[in-house]
Order: sequence, then structure tokens, then C-alpha cells
Amino acid sequence: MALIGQGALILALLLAIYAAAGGLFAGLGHDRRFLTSARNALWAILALVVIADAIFLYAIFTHDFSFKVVADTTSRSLPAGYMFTAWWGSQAGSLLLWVTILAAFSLLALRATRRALGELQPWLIMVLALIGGFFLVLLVVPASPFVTQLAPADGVGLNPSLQNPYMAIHPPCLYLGYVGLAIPFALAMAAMIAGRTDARWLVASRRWTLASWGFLGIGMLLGSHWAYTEVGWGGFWAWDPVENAALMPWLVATAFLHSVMVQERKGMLKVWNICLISGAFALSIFGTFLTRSGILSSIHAFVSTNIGWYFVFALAAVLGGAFGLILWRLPLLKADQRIESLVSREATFLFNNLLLVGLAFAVLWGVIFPLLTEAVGSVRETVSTPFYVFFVVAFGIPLLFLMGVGPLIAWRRASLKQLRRSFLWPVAAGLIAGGVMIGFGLDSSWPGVAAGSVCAFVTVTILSEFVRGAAARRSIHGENWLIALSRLIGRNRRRYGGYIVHLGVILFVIGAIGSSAYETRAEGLLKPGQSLTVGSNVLTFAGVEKTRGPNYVERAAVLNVTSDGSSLGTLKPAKRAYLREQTTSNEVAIRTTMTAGDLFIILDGIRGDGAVQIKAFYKPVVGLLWIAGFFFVGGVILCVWPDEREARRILRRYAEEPLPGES
Amino acid sequence: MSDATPATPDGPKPGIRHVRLVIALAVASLLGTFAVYTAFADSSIPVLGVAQASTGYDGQKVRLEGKVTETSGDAADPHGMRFILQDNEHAATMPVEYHGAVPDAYRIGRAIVIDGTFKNGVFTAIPDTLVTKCPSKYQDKATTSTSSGSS
Amino acid sequence: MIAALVLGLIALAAVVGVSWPLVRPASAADQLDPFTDGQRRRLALREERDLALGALKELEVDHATHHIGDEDYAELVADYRARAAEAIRKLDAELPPVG
Repeated sequence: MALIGQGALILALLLAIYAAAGGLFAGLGHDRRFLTSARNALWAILALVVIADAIFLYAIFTHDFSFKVVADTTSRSLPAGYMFTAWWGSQAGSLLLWVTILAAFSLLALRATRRALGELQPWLIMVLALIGGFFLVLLVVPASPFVTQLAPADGVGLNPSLQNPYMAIHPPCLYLGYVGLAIPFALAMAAMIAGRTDARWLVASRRWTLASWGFLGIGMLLGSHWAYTEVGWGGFWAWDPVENAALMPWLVATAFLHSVMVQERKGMLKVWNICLISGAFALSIFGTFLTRSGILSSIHAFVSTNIGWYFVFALAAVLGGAFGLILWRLPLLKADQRIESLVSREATFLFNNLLLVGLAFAVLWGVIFPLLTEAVGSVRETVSTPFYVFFVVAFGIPLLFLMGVGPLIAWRRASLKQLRRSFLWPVAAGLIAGGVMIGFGLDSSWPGVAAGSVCAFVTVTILSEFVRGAAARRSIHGENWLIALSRLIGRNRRRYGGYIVHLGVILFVIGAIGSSAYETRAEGLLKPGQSLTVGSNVLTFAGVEKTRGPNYVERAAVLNVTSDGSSLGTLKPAKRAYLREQTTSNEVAIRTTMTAGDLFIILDGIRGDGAVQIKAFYKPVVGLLWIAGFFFVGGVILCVWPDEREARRILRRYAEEPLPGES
Repeated sequence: MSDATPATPDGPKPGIRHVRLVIALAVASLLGTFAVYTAFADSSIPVLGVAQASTGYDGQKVRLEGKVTETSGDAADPHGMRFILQDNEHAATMPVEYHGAVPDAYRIGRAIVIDGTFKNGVFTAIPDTLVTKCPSKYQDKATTSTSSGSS
Repeated sequence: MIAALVLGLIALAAVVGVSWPLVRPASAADQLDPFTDGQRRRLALREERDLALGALKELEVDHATHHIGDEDYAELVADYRARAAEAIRKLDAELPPVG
């Protein structure tokens, strides 16, 4: 079986090489036959990769431990649901997932672009086939899922921390994001090769970029929620290289999403946009490798694995290829117009881009710092949370501010008089919020007060946009508020979808500030009957409770919670001992309230005499972090939703004159 | 393509130069912030293997890497936990004193990372900075539980 | 085994699917004509025209929602109208007259 799986992958690799060549011939010779042939090759690749997936999953579900990867990541006692997630629990398995998604996305992209981008299709196939081929090489040579061994009696099992619903969806979500960025990148490369510098590739790639950005964002949020509830140290983001791996492409993609609007309207920032999407894709490859191997923890770790050099090659190819193409096509990429005024939406977006890219760069610096210091000196150095937090605050607060400024400023040039009128209420709201925060003693954290004030400023801005837009519709069309609002949003999906996403960002920021800058904590050793006070909550230890699960034994500390005398129930932070995997995990107890915040309790240890070491946090408004996720999803869906009017408008442009390349 | 901002005989309009200047200043200030912070803020710490640790880092805050060979005591106790850390490649060892949270994956034989300072041949750890590292090829967040809340 | 059979079938289908389009000789219908220079120019002009028209629409909304004052609005509208007109004029010059 393993041999067949490997055979399928090798065949897929050969077909990928062929598809790239076919695309090249189709592009150079303008021969549709090669285009069709190459596209058929892509279909075959998808089929072969799906077969490889099926064989792999079959091995997992039938506990075939002769597959080394299956033995390393599953066990007989693993619950069925988590058997499926073991697909991406290993490096080889996750690369297999990557390639499957890429094959499917490539065919989707071809289908979506067949009408107005026919000229780009050969090059699109070529670039996507090269990317897919690279990952297939990884799957065939260094990271095969089909390596066999003498089957042990049972597998090692899945890390208990990963046996959690959030960890089940988090990796595929991230992969949809990482792989999704390949499409806009390939479109950009194809447009440059074909010498098509109109914004058509941008428009075609917009939904892909949005969807990928959305998946990356939600993936990170799911991962944070998992870290908060499952890993349970009290935080939700540790600035771990693996976390930063997803953050970096997300930041650059955010910049790209904004700057494309400038290129669409003013025909400028063409080179910048290509750099951004290339950077985002390069970072997503970087991220894939970072998550799958510890290669960046030190030079030694890098050279001790064989996958490191493949990774360097991939980055060099992506960045070098993009750079070369830009140089070649530079004459075609000249800006059509210029920024005329600093008080314009273009300028706002430009500054937004600088801050986002700056932040991404700072994070990148932190991630590769150990490698850099080791290469330059002899001692490896590392940075941790304070480094990242500094830049998040230094670059993030101005970014937040710009988020409020952008909607108020018109394209091209805004009049200062109008601005003064528009800014009045938002600025007032910001100042009032700041004053209120200081009044409540929240000036213990000045970044907190600054961020809170800016959040108020931005919220009023966004809400005023909805109000003003609906009011304008009412005066022009005479609709009632509800209809005006829904038509407003329906006719301007991108703008208002974007505003909803911005509202989500605000909620996230408030949740983040509340839970970190303004948390209270307490810890202590409790004997039965003793209490610990955190904030206004009193936790009284009643005793240790023991229970048995499917593959674990759990010991919980029973804590009765009261606040101002009234009972708030019982919380049971626990430790679980997983039998097969021979590890213990911490199960934190969280009491969430919508209005107030979380009571977060960790059982640090159970002493021989029955006393327990407890650490407790009170985290205000932390729930907003997760609610923000719904705003993100809603906003992205709204933006991505197909707009028949816009599609017709764009097709009309092409239908005015019969054009070649239609298939 | 029509150029929206026709150039005057002396070159592009002053407005454009003004815009470019501000953009350049913005970039410069971002880079400057970055440069100043990384140069002056004490934001990085050396990462040492146990074997390197013996050479002249007394009193300095460092991050130590190694694997646990012996362990005793309870990190939640006032006396804390004491364990022996061995270099990941060489035979050198170092006793460590630790208070605070212990990640789930901690055990004898596990590779860990911990922050602290050397004092008289013993590594005194900063509380809650013990982080386990997964020894296998799959480096996952799960194994770096209880991250350092060091500030 | 079934899996080997399926793999073999797919491999066969792949070879057929990939080579079938190439079996017949190239005909005129297989030409993936690149855009001619004229077509590129006209496409660019249409894009410019649509950009100007779109900007006019957006300006109207911005004006109705008080993001832009009357003076600036008048000036920008005139500018975009001129651009759209210029693009349309150039387009008309390029295309052969209807008749």
C-alpha cells in the first residue's frame, strides 16, 4: 500500500513537471493544445494526490503502524475524531494536505480566470505547477508519508494538547490561508510574464487574497483560543516562532488588501503591490517550514535537517523570480498617477502599509534573531515578549488611528473643512474615553489608555459611516432606515464588509488590552477549607476529585467560587494523566462572563498531603477576543460575496471588442 | 495615460516633493524607531547550552538549554524544585533551582529551556520560565506551554 | 489490489488526457492569440474610462455623505469627467466607425 501511495506521488511529481513545461509551451507558442494538455495534467495530479491522501488516511484508521508516520502520531486508543486530524499531525502529512489544497485551488483558479484572463492561463499553470512540483519533491524525497518500518504493537499517540477541537480545525484553516496566497502570487507572476499590467489580475486575485487572509486570521484566532483554554498559562499569544509564522504573512496580506485599492483607483503602487504579494507568499512558505521543523532555532538545527536547504531554495526561487520579473517589466509598471495630497485616502493607505510592513519586519527580525546573532557572533541570542509588544504598541496604535482616519478622508484629496466636521465627534469620543479610563484608574497602563481612546475614536468613525451612508440613501431614494442600511451594505459590500472587519479589530484590541494590561492575579497553596482572593472573587478549596476518561485519569481541585457573598458555582482546574502517551496535561478552569471577563484558574500542582498550588487570574473583557472572530468572518464573507453587478461591469469591458484567449 | 499632475517646467510640482518628503520621513522614523529600540533596549538575552554556561556569564540573565537528567522537589513548594540539566550534546551538567509553573511535558530526559542567572555554580531560575521542547521533528506550540511571562 | 488497479487506471487516464490534445496537429483555432498592441491600448483606455466613471460615482457618494466639500467636489468632478471624455475620445479614434 505504501508503495502505491509513493507511486502516486511520484507520478504526480512527473505530471507537475510536465504541466509546467506544457504551460511554458502554451505561453511561448500560443498553442491552446498545450494549455488543454497541461490542464488535464493538473486534474490527474489532483486525482493522484487524493489517492495518496486516501491511502494515508486508510493507514491511519486501520492502525497500520508499518507506516512510520502513522506510528509516530497515532495510537490504538486515540479517539476517532483525532485520528482524522493526525493527517496533519506530522510534517509529511501536513505537506500532503498542502499539496492537495494547492491542486484543488489551482483548478479552481483556472476555472475562475478562463474568461477575461485567458492570456495568463499558460503562465498561471506554469507557476502553480512549479510550486506544486516543489512540494511534491519534498513529499517524494525528504518527507515522505509512506516510509515503512517493522510495525510496532502500538503507536506513540497524539500529543494530548492536540486532542482538542480547536487544534483540530486550526491547522487546516491556516493551510487554506497559506496555500491560498499562492494564487494571487501566481496571478501576479503570470501577469508580469505576459506583460499584462492592467489591474485585471488584481481584481481576479482579490477574493483569493481576502479568503486566504480570512483563513489565516481565523486560524490564528483559533490557535489563540486553544492556547488560552488548553495550554493554559494564562495568555493567548506567546510570540512563539510558530505563531509568528502565521502572523507575518497575515500582516503583509493586510497591507496588500489595502494597497490594491490604491492601484485600482489610481494605477499607482504597481511595483509595491507585486512586492507585497510576493513577500506574503514567501512568508507563507517560510511559515509552513517554520511550523513543520525547528530549523530556525539555531544554525545547528538548520543544518542537521535536510529540509532546511529545500526551504532556502524555495524562498530564493520565489523572491528571485519575483524580483527578476519586476526588473524585466519595470517599464510597464510605471505609475499612472501620483499621490497629490497627504490628506487623502491614498496617503492614509500608504502610511498604513508602511506600518504593517514595518510590524511584519519587526516580527521577522525577532524570529530570525537567534540565527543572525549566531551567524555574526558566537553566542545565540533571543528576544521575547517585551520586544514584540513594544513594536505592536509603537506601530499598532498609529495603525489603529489610521483605521479611523481612512473612512473619513476622501480619495485623492479631502478638504480640511470637511475633515474638521467629520473628526469632531470621533475625536470627542476618543478624548472622553481616555478621560473615563483615567478616571477609573486605568492609567496604570498608558498604552492601554492610548489604545482605548483610539478604539473609541475609530468606533465612532465607523458607526458614523453607516449612519451617513444610510442617511444619504434616505434623502436620495426616500427609503426607511432599515432598507437604506441594507441596500447601502448590499451595494457597497467591500467598503462595509471592510468596516465590519475593522469593528472586529477594535473588539480584538479591547479584549487584548483588557486581558493583559488590566488583569489581576493571585496564587497560593491551599489546604482544604482555605481560600484565595482574586479581584472580587473568593475561591475556597473543597478537596481533590478523581475521574476517569477514555484515555486518561483526571485529578481536579474543587473550588467553590463566591463574589460579594453570593455563590458563582464551582470550578475544577485539573491535571490529566494520559496513559498511552505517558504525559500529563493541565486542564485549566475558566468561568466566562460576557460583561465582566474571565476567571481563569490553573492547578499548578497537587501535594502529597492533599494541598493544592493554585494560580488564578481575573481577565476583564477577554471574551471580546473571540467575539471579534465573528466580526472577522462576517466582514470577510460580505467582502467575498459575489457581486453580479461588478462582475457584469468588468465583463462588459471585455465584451466590447472580441478578444482572443477565451476558452 | 494622462498624467494627473503635469510637471511644471522646473520639474514636478512642489506639492509632490512635499508628499515624497513626508513619506521618506515616515519610512525613516519607522526604521529609526526600530534601530534605536534594538540598539538601546535590553531586549535580547543570550541562549546558552549547559557546556557554554560555565564561561563568564555570572550574574547575567541568560536562557539555558539542556535536558533534564535528575529532578527532585516540588516547584510549588517554598523550597522549590531542584534538577540537573545536562547539555544537549556534551556531558557538562548544571544544577538548577526552580519555582513556578511546570509544563505538562516536563520529565526526565526532556529537553527544556529556562531563563535565569548563574550564582556560585547553581543556576537560579526566574519563576515560570520553564519551557519544554519537543525532541522530535514536529516542533509544536503544545510543547512550549507556559511561556515565559518575563518582562 | 484495488489500489494498484486504481492507480494504474489513473496513470493511464493521465497519459491519455495529457497527450490527446497534442495528437492532432495545430490548427488555427488552437491559436492562443496574444493581445495585439491595438487591443492592449484599447483595453487600457477602457480601463481608464471605467476608472474615471467609477471615481465619479464614488465622488457622488462621498459628497452626499459630506466627506467632500462643494468646492473640491466640483473641481474633482470636472477633472474626472475630462479624463473619461478623453479616454472615450481616444477609444473612438481607434475603433473603426460603425457602418
